This record gives sequence, C-alpha cells and structure tokens, in this order.
Amino acid sequence: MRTRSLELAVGGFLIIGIAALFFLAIKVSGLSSELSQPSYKVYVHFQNIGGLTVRSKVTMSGVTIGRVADIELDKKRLNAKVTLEIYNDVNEISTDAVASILTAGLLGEKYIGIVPGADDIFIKNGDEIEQTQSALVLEDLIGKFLFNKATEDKSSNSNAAATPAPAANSQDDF
Amino acid sequence: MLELIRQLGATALARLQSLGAASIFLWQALVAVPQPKASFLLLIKQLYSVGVMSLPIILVSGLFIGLVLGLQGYNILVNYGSEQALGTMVALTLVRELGPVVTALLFAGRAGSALTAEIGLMKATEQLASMEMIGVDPLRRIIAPRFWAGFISMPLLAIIFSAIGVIGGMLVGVDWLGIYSGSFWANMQNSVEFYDDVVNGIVKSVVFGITVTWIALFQGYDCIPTSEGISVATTRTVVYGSLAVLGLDFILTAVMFGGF
Amino acid sequence: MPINDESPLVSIRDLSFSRSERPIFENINLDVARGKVTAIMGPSGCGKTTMLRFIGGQLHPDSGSVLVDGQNVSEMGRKELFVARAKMGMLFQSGALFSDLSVYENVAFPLRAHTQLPESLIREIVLLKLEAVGLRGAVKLMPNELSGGMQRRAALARAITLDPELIMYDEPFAGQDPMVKGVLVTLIRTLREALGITTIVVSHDIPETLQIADYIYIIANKGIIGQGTPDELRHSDSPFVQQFLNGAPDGPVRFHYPAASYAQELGVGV
Repeated sequence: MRTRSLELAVGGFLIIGIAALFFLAIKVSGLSSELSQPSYKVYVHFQNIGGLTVRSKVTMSGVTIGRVADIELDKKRLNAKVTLEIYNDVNEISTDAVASILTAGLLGEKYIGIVPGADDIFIKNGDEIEQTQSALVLEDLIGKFLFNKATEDKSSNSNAAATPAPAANSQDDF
Repeated sequence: MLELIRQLGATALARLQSLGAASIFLWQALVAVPQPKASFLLLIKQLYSVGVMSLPIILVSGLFIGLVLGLQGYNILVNYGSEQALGTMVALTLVRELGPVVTALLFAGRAGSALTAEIGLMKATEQLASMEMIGVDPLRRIIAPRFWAGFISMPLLAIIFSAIGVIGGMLVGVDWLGIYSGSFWANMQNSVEFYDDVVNGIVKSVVFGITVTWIALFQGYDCIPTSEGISVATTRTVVYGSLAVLGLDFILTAVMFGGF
Repeated sequence: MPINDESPLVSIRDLSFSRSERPIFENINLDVARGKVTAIMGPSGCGKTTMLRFIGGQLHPDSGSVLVDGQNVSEMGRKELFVARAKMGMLFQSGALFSDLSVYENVAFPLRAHTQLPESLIREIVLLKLEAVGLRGAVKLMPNELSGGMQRRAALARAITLDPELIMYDEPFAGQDPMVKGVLVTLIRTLREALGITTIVVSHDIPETLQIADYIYIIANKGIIGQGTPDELRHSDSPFVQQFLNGAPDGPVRFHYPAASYAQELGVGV
C-alpha cells in the first residue's frame, strides 16, 4: 500500500536521473555524433602546434570532418607529429592539400583547417599531408613586427618604403 | 609550550582513533553479506528518504545556480565579444565542479544531517541495543541500506543538478538575453567531452557520496546518546562532510583536470 | 547437557569490570535461580544495567565468567550468540520499539529474524502475545501513537515473542504512573507463574520490586552489599541495606557531597 507509492517514487527518481544523464551525454557533450563515425588516420607534422589539443576539430571549409586523435613529438624529425582521424565518407582529399592550425575567434581554441589541393591522387589511411602551416605564435609576431620596425627606422633616411607588415604566414618547409 | 604539544598529540591520536573506528564500522556494515530479499525492500525505503526527498532542494538549487551562471557568465563574456561561449562556460562549470560539489554540500546538509539525527535517536532510545539483543545486527539492517542509498543517490542527484543547471543557463542565455540557440548548444557540445568532463564529474560525485554518507552514518552511530550529543553529531556531519567534500574536490580536480 | 532444575540459569563468577579506568565491579558473584524472579537493585549509577548487558553478551567483562545455561556468554562467537539471544528477551528502559515499524511488525521482528515461519503463523503468534499484554487492539498503530505505558507493554510483547527462557527487565517501573506500574507488576508475575520464565528485574523502585521478587541482590560500591529474600532484607542488620530499603536520605551513603567545613567556606570562625 504505502510500499507501492514508495517504489513508484524511487523508480521515478531513477528515471529522472537516467534521463538527465542522457541529456548530459547527448545534448550537452554531443556524445552520439562523436561515437558513430568510422574514420581513417592521417598524419601531419608541424613546427609548432600552438595550443592545439587532442580532440580538437578538423575542418574543411568550416565543416567538421574529423578530430585530432593524438599529438606527440617526432624524435627523428624533431617536430610535432599529429594524428588526425578523418571520417570515412570524406575520402577525396588530394595529397597536395594544406593543413593549417587556425584559431576560432580571437581567444578561441585551436583547430585544424584543411584546404584541398588539385592533385588527382587522394590521401588514404596512414598517409601524410605534406603541406602544413603552423600555429601563429603571438611572441613571434611581435618579435617580427619590432624587428621590422627597427629595420624601417634604420633605413628611414633612404626613403625606403618599408613594408612593416610581418609575413603572417610562414610556410614551413621540411 | 610543552602542554600545547601534548594536547596536539592527544588530539591527533584521538582523531586517528575515531578514523580507525569509522573504518571498522564501514567495513562491518558493508562486508556483512545481506539477505537479498529483505534488504532490497530496506534499500528502496532508504532510497526514498535519502534520494527522493532530496530532489526538491537539488532541483531548485540547480535551476537557480544555472540561471545565475547564465547571467553572470553573459555579463563577463560580453566584454570580450564571446557571448556564444556562454553555453560552454555554464556547462563546463556545472558538469566539472558545481554539479558534484554543490550537490554534495546540499546532500550533507539535508540528507546527511537527517541520517545522523535518525541513527543518533535510535541509539539514544536504545533501539540499536534492543535490535542487537534480539540477535539482528544493526549494522547490517540499519546502516548498510542507508549507505547504499547514499552511494546510489548522490551521483544521480549531481547529474540531475548539472542537467537542470544547463537548462537554467539556456533559459537565461537563449530565451532572455537572446544568444542564438544554435551556437549556444553547438559551442557547448564541442567543448564538453563526455569522458573527460561528464564522467569525471560523475566519478567525483561517487567519491563525495561515499564520503558524506559514511561520515553521516558514523557520527550518528558513534554519538553520545543524549539530545545534546545528537545535536553535536549532526553539526559534525555537516561540517566534516562539507570540508571533506571541498578538500577531496581539490585533490580530484588536480588529478583529473590538472594533468598530474 | 544435563538439565538440573536446581542449578541457576545464570551464574556470574568473579566478574570485574572497569569503564575508562573507573572500576565498576570487583569480583562479583551472582546466581539467578530458574523459574524465579531475581531483582538487582542499587543506587543510580552502580552499574545495574551494565550487568544485564553482560548477560546478553553485549559487553564483555574484564575478568570473570558469565554462564547462561552452562555456556559462557562472554566467550561466544557470533553464531552462538545469535542462538543464545533467541532464548533471552529484554525489555529496555525506554521500551525501544523500532520507530519506523508498526506494533505488529515490532512484535513480529524476532520471529522474522530467527524463524522461517509462514506469515499466517507469524500473525497468530503476534496476536497471541499482544493479547497477553492487553494490546491486541493496537496492533496496527505506530509506536509514536502509543502512550509510554503502552509502549512498554508492546515492547514486552516483543520480548516474549520467541518464548524465551529468560526475561530481563531494565528499570521497568521508572517514571511510570501507578496504574502502569500495577499493570507491569501483574504481567511480570503472570508470566512467571504461567510460563515459569526465569526473570531478572533491574530496578530501584522499592515497593514494586519487593512485591514481585523472590530473591534480591543490592549492588553498590563495586560489589554486592546485601542479598536475600525480601523478608530477609527487611530484617537485615546492615545499615546500608536499611538506608536503601527505607529510602533514608542519609546513612552509609552520605547526603552531603564531600566538602570542606561549612563554617570555613563562609569564612566564619574556625
């Protein structure tokens, strides 16, 4: 009699709890979309990964096509080796595509953006993307700016039209 | 000066002794194998009085904290033009920290003190002694179901708290302050990791649940069986329980999120 | 085990016990005869209730033996203690009914713990015990709906549920009105006469205890200062026994707590 309503209340409590858990899993942390995608591995090397972390997004044209699976130091080439997991249905990335580390917003997180190339050969599981652009490091930018400013002041008497803007994109050659 | 040192040593020894007694107490209550059918009913009853009865305060507190987080978060983020990060901020704050910790503090105050008072009263009215005389172990019959009820309820309550808090943040951010609903949820989903954040939060709340319930039950069981003794015991439950939660939170956070 | 009807049911030998370095008992010897009512009396704080706890196995003495029906209770393991306790019933000073169970469930509690009887049989036994104490009509009530005296009676029903060989009453008359006291005296006597249950009553209510006891021990100052049948004690020479039985405020147990001379404290004279 009283036990019945008791059990009902406890059952209700458990159901609310589990529902909340599902809410947290799916709505709040976006679990399901992450789990269900089969993907293949691609490797990229960077001089400087900046604030890139594991599980950061990999995008092409702004659309998420995968995640960063692993970041480690390549001891032979002495740079960062990043493992990307790209969804299986995005399988037409040419071998001359460019992978750059970009920032979302001003203070936002780092993510990887892939710009496709023109090649006919596509990247397969285990391949490497050769062309990369490292993350912008603020100190380097400021250093370059100051250096350029100093150079401009030195040659100011020779009317040299200095281009103070530092080269923001440093192409990495390996 | 010497007297001070002596007293310090005496206090430390007394604390150690009661920690030891509390451990034996817990061991005897849990390792005692229960009779399945009877103790299931007892467990249900305790889940009701420990878990279900705490729901109202958890729901209301969670909602209000979510609302406040939304408001305050918006006020701060709007200065950096990052209002879309509100969802992220509210969700991470709740799931990682406020959910487990605030729930544990509320639990210690509401359910913990109720448990201590109930057991203390049973001790004072000799119910525990008479149960022992009849041949039934009060640790098995009274303490163990209450412990498992606390162990199960705390994580559930913390999850519910976080969920309601996120909804509260959404109500403020999206419905009131006009943040675009899509970016609110999308940013949140991108930054909240299930295994790193939600599951770690649950682990925290399990640890807190064990700690608070253990302290509450032991204080009741060990109290001086007078009305003053019960009052001291309930105060201790709330104070020790809260301090333990905060201390453990720091340790767990350092381990889980600080990369130690 | 040979059953000798003359041998005492409970036999305490050379029992000593201290609590936080304060000795409570020193070398106490006590016998409880079968089928009789034995009273343990004494001033407050002399340790009467503690004695009951020794017999029930809840406390262990520092030295000495506590034999119940030939077995040493203080050396028993858990299972043996469980079996032994089924043969003992105890009525606590506060009744100690379980506050979250109804009267029915309270009385049925020992049955559920010690037996596997079907529900119908349990019901019959519960009603029988409640009838014996006059509370059959209160079977569905919760303990907080009963008066103090009714709680005691319900607790008594619970104590006799398993038809124990030994019943212990811890201060059954303390703080009760005269009618309830009369009821309890009648019940104790009836149980003894009808069922031959060995009874131990711990009390400091003199008139009631003298009414029902067959043999009395008076405990004070860590030992037994008087024992005998009620008549023997009434005519005893010991001044302590006389002070206790007559309730005299001053005698071997002094009225004044030890202090310096009154005149000295007031600073008057020498």
